[in-house]
Amino acid sequence: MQYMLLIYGVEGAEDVDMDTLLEQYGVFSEEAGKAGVLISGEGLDPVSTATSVRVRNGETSITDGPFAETKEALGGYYLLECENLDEALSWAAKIPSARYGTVEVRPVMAYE
Amino acid sequence: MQQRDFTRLFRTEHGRIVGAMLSYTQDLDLIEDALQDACLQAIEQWPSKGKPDNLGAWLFTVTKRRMIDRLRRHDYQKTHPESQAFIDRIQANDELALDDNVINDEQLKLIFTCCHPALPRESRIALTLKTLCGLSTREIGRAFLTSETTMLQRITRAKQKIKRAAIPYQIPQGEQLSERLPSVLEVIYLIYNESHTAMEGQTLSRAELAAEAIRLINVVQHTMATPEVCGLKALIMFHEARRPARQNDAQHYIPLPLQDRSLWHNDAIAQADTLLKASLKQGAVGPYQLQAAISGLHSQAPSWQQTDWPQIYALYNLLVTVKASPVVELNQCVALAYCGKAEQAFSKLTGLSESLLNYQPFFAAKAEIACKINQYDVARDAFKQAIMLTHNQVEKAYLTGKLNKLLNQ
Repeated sequence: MQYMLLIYGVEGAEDVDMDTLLEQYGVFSEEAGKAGVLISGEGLDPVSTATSVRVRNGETSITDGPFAETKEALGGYYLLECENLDEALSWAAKIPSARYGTVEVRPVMAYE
Repeated sequence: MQQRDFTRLFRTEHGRIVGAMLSYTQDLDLIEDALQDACLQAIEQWPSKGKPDNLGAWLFTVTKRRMIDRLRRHDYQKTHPESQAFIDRIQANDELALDDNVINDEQLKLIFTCCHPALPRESRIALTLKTLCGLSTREIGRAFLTSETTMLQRITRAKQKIKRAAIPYQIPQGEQLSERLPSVLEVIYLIYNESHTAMEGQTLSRAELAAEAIRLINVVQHTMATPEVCGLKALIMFHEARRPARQNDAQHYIPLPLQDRSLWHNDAIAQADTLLKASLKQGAVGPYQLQAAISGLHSQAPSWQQTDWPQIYALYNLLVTVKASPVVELNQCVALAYCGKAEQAFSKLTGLSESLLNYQPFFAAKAEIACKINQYDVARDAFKQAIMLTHNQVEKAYLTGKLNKLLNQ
C-alpha cells in the first residue's frame, strides 16, 4: 500500500546546518531504497518560491505564496510502499525533519 | 433466563469469542454481526429448548455457523473473493476448541489495534469497549455522558480509519511495542476511572465497567507483565478492594474518609501489595506504580486518621516528576496539609486555582486546609463552592455538615 509522507517544518528552525541535514536525508533515502519501500521523494524549494492557482467560474487566479499561510510549511515529501500504517510510521519517524517539524502520513487512494 | 443475565453472559463471552474469531478473519464487522446473530438465536431458543451446559462453547459454535451463513451470502461473496477460504478454514477447525493462549493473544492484538495512537483518544476507548467488551453504543454513550449517535459516529470513523490507513492488526514489533503500550494502559485506566465517577443515575453498573477494565488489564498482563502493567493492575486491585464500602444501599458514593473499612477485601489488598512490590524490584518506577503505591497506603491504613501521610506525600513528590498535572499537584497539597504543613499546602494550593476552575475536589480541599490554618472566611466560601459543585448526595450532606459546624462556631 502506498503512503505519502508530507514533511512540514518551520523554515529556518532546522536543528543542524543545511549540509548536515541534506546528508541525513541522503542516508534516509538510501536506507528506504535498500529496504525496497522508496517510490519517490523530493525536497521542495522554500515557501517564498510558491505560487497558488485557483480556477473559479472559469476564471484563473494566480497568487504569490502557498495555499495558506501556516506556521509550518510543506518542505518535501516521500512516496513509500509499505505493508501497513505502522511500517509507514516507523519510516516517518526516521525522516530528519521529524525531529523539529511534523511528518504527515496519508494513505494514497487506491482504486479497485 | 432474565434479559439481564443474557446481557451479562454475552458481555463476558464477547471479548473471548471475538478474539477466537479473529484468528479466522479480520473483518470485525462480520464477526460482530455473526455474534449478534448467535446471541439472538440464544435469546429465542434457550427459554423453550433449555440452556446448553457450556454456554460459551455453544455461543462460539453458533457464531461460527452464522459466520459461514454470512460469508455465503451472494452480496458478500461478490465483494470478498477470499470468503470461500474463510469458510474452509472455519469448517476445517470446527472440532478444534481454541486454547486460552490463542484467544488471549487475539484479544491482545485487538487491544493494541483499538488503542492505536493514530485513532482519536475518545475513539480508542469507545472502540475498545465496543469490540472487546461487547458494550452497546448506548451503554458506552451513557457511561461517558455522550449521545449514542456521537459514539456510533466515533466508532464508525475509527473502524474506517483502521481500514483505509491499513492500521495493522498485530502486537507492535520491537521499539514500537514500548511506544504503544502506554496508550493501551491509558485506555484501560480511563475505562476504570469512568467506573469510579460519582455521577449518579448512570444505568450501566459501575461494577460492570470496572470488571471490563480488570479483564482487559488481565489480558495484557497474561503476555506482557511489565512493571507498569503490573502497576496499573495493582492500582485497579487496590481500588476494587475498597468497592464494597464505596456505595451505600441507595447507591450513593461514600468518600474515603467515611468508608467502613471492615468491608474492604483485605486478601485482595494483600495480593495487590505483593504484585506491586514484585514490580518495584525490576528497577524502573513509573506513574502507575506510584499511583498504586499511594492507593496501597490508603488501602492498608486501619483508619483515615492512621493514614501514612508522610509516605503518601513523598510518593506524590515522585509522581509530579513523571506525571505533572494540576490534579496530581492538588493531591500533593492535601497530603502536605495532612503532614502538618497546612500553611505551606494552602499557599501552594492557591497557586493552582487557575488550572482547576469548577473542579469540586479543589474547593473541598481548599475548605479543609483553610480550616486547619483558621482561615474560616475562606473555608466557608470554599465549602459553599464545593457543595454547589457536588453531584452526589452523601458527599453533599457530609460537606454541608462541615459547613454548618463552621457557621455555628
